[in-house]
Amino acid sequence: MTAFTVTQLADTAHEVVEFAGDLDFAVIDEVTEQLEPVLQRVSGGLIVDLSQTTFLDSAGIKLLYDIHGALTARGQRLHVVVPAENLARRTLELTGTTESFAIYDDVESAAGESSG
Amino acid sequence: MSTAKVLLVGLGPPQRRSIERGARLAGDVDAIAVDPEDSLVAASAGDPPAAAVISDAVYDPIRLARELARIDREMAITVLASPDREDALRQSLRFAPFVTANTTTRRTTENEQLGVDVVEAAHAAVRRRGHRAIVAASNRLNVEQASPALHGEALGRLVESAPIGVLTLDSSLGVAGFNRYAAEVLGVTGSAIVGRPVVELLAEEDHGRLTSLLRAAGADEHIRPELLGRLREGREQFLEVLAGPAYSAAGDRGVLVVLSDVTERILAERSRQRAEDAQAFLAETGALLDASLDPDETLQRIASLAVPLRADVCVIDRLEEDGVIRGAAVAATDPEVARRVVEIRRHSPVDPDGSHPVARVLRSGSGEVLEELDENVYRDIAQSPEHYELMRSIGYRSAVTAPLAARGRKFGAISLFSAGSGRTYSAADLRILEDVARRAALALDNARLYARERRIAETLQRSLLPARLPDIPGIALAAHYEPGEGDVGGDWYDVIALDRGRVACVVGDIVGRGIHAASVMGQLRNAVRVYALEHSGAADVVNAVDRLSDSLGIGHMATLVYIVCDPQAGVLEISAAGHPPPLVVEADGTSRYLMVGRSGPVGVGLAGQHVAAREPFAAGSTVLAYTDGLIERRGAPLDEGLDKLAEVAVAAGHVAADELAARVMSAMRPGGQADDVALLVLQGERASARLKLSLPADTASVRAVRAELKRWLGDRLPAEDVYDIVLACSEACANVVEHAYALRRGELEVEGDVSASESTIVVRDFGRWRAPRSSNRGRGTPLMETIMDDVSINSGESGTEVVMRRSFRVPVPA
Repeated sequence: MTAFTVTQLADTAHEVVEFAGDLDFAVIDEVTEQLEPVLQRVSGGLIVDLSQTTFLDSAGIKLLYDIHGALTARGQRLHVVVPAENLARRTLELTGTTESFAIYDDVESAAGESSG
Repeated sequence: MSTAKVLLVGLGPPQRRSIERGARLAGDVDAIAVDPEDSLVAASAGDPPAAAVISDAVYDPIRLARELARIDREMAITVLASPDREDALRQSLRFAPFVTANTTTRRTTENEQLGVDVVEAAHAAVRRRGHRAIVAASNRLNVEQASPALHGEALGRLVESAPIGVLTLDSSLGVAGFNRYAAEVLGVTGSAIVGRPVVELLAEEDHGRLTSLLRAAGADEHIRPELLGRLREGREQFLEVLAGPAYSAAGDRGVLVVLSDVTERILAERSRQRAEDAQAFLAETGALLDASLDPDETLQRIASLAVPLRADVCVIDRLEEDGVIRGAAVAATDPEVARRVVEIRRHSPVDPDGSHPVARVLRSGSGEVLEELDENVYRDIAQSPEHYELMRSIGYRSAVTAPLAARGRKFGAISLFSAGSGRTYSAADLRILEDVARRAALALDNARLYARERRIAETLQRSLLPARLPDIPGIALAAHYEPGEGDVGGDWYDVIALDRGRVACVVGDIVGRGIHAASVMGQLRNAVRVYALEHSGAADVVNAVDRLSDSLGIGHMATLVYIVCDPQAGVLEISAAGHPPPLVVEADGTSRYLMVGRSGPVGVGLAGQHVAAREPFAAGSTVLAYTDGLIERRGAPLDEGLDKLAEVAVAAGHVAADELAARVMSAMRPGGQADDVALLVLQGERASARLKLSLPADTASVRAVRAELKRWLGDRLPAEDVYDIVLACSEACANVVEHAYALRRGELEVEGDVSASESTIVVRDFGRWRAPRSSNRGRGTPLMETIMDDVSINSGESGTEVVMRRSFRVPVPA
């Protein structure tokens, strides 16, 4: 199962959404629904943390593009965190997503980058 | 041959001396330490370990089990036990953690011989390393008699006050002298008996035998002790008499008679004999009640016992649950008569409301005597004209009928008839028959209750065993439980799926039988299930179970082996509490017993002391865990059973787990065995070049496919390649789940093939594949194409097949 947690990052205007487990087509509808209120209230920017994500498929990639689209329409930014050693990063590379979004190794650098 | 050390624990001085003597006879004895306070552990500390001889005077089964649990060496142990404790102590020996032991019982009375055996066992243990020889001697050692040298007056005083009768006789067998005890035994006083022929004093009957006996003694022959029975003041008295030649101070030849009053002993033996007869009768009844004998057969045997001793014809009728009376057993001096009686009961059954004695007896509950039978009576009780004719032609003269009733239940009636013998039955015959009938009815009721209890226990047992074993990727599992011939035992097995693809297997054995053992088994099984999920270490689980069994006051010893198998890491973790060692058969056909992680049984206060050990678990290897019923054969050494199990398991070769379990069961238990048996087979799948999965097309299956594929490719390719191929396959499977069957249920098939140079994955469905409706679903196929070198999608009437191929090559830098 995919664990879904949202945290407000201290001292920044960023919200962090963390997915643990397999982020695949089987859970995408449920995750989209849970994300809806988060996207509504985000003011600064959104960090999607995939550090604990063990598998990411094309449905997961589509979700990232959807989030990206929603945020850009409101002048906000999406930051994706996937450590280089996490195999889920392969999906981002294979789909060329690394070109489209800012990818960070950890939450701190994502937060620092976006506020600085 | 190395020298042996023998340590004697808790033995009395006479026992000690006897063993020391025998041990010296056997030679090569290094030292004999004596430490009655110390434990077996001290004996095991030396190198080589001392052979220990212990006595049940200081060892009860629990102390023995506890100390054995602390010994991790091969050593010889001899237990001196009285017959009533022998079994209990033997049980404790069985639970020794390192037991691959041969338990041998020597009913040794020759003390030196026992000492020789002890030393030989010690040598065997040292020599063979892998084995412990155990000798359990059933008989207590004889206590050596003191033999003080006494002369003259001192001897005279001693004889006078000795608790044994001494008589001296003159050459004509008249009494010359006697001591106090002899006078008491013979019931005479003063010197009135001096000069009287001893045969008159000693025996009331059979003067002849005694006279010739004493004459022979006088004539210098060796006389063995003789038993004389006599009546003294109307009571039976038994004397043991020893006689031999003797000479007076003047040199006259006479006879010395030594006698002791053994009346008490003889009477005790007699009553023991009577009790044994009753016991034998009960045992016979018990045998009749054996589950394999049906009640009708029991009744037939009873009928056969009655004829011809008590009757010419014996008929036993049963009252069925629906109220019908049915002839159940018939015996007659003439087989033809028996046949005709059987026939008439079938043809003209006894009317329960009628006037037949059986019906009357069943209604009233008390027996009846028909002293004189004649044609009038025949007519009165006949159930049909044919019945009347039969009675007339047999010529019944007298009859007696008693109800088969026990514990408020009526089972039928037993009737005796006389004919040709002319016997006439009386009230006394009725009393005897009623007694037999009561026993028979009790037997029937016991059989009924036993069958019910066994049914309950078996149902309980079955319901507590897992209905099915979990599916664990990479592991094949099979289990067998077979009840023994007697009561249901407390053997169980269980398999618990843990996280990270690990699995816990447990096989256990509650000491004891019947419903209670089965319910204790249920408690421990559940405890293991809970602790398996709570604790990650095998020793923690076993210690927690032991603590629980202490606090529940279950009061039962149990043995169990708990194995955690991690097929991905290739590791087994084993904790065996007093349990026989699991067997591992490797893919190459070698086998070994896992003599690691061993401790004493659960339920003897060892909580916290159970240990565990890790062992490699290679692909294609098989683990067999079992209860002792599988390897134990009455009268055969335990390691014979272990050797045979290894032989059978290896000979089976590469067969599926359930086939292996079936072969092992049939080879190890060709017939029914007294003990119940649980067997669990755990087989690591052999690394295969091909993968084939067939699953329902749903989201859960896609996750299962990913896990299986990852495991299958795991060892062959770098992690990145594995991830990529799994991703491509997952995309193809997601398409099947989302598009192929619309809302209907269907199948998803995945096949994989891998060679040194490339890997091919085929994903198949049997529905109608529709092209992706929008770009929302469109990323999957391009991703597949990015990852794989070739992707072809073939759609047809019967379904769609996606074939993906990827070559392994060193990636060319862009």
